[in-house]
Amino acid sequence: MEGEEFYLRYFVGHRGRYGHEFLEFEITSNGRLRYANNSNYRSDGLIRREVYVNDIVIDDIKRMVEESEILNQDDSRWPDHGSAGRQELEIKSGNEHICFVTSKIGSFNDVQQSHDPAGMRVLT
Amino acid sequence: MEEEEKYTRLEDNSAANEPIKSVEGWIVYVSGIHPEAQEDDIYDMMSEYGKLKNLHLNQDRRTGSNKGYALGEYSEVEHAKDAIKGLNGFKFLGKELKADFAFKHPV
Repeated sequence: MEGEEFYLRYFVGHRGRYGHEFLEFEITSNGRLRYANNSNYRSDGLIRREVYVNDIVIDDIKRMVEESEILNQDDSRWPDHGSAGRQELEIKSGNEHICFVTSKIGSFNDVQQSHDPAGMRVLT
Repeated sequence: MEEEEKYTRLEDNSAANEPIKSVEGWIVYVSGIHPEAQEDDIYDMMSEYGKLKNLHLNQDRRTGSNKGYALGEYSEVEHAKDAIKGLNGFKFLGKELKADFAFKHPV
């Protein structure tokens, strides 16, 4: 696990009456965790935070990625991102690199109704 | 780069060999938690080392079991250090725990 390149990014957002509202976080092998959140609701603006996390946190995130088997999934039959908004999940781990893009998920029912409920269940 | 400046960091007043403080306390990360463990169990276990200000045991909303980790916040750094010493390697519900400070100084 040590020394191997690891990167994880998650984005969720949509464009609506409060502008481009989104939330994004990314984490790199050196422990840098960045978080960004934007909304124009009540004149709010972009919030960006950065912390560095210890190996115990990185190792546990790697464990969760591994146990979830998300790297073995495929987003080709997941719903296209539409007006409801989009989600992105990017993970680099060793030689593997995935970047999934799909629509926002409102409820577990959306997952059941999709063309790949088993795969999308892993994402949620 | 100007881009780099836009991310706000924690205030870093502690010495390099001391753990970094979060906004109001010291955050201890515990991994290896049994998925069926309840928040009360973890609260009691972590309170043995000092008063906990906050505890998060995040759950999987589909299965209802926890995600295998907890974040506890202590007001006193010595309590956090004692917790890490005591919980690291401790067996709980048959699983060996790991514990450390969640945050480190920027590298």
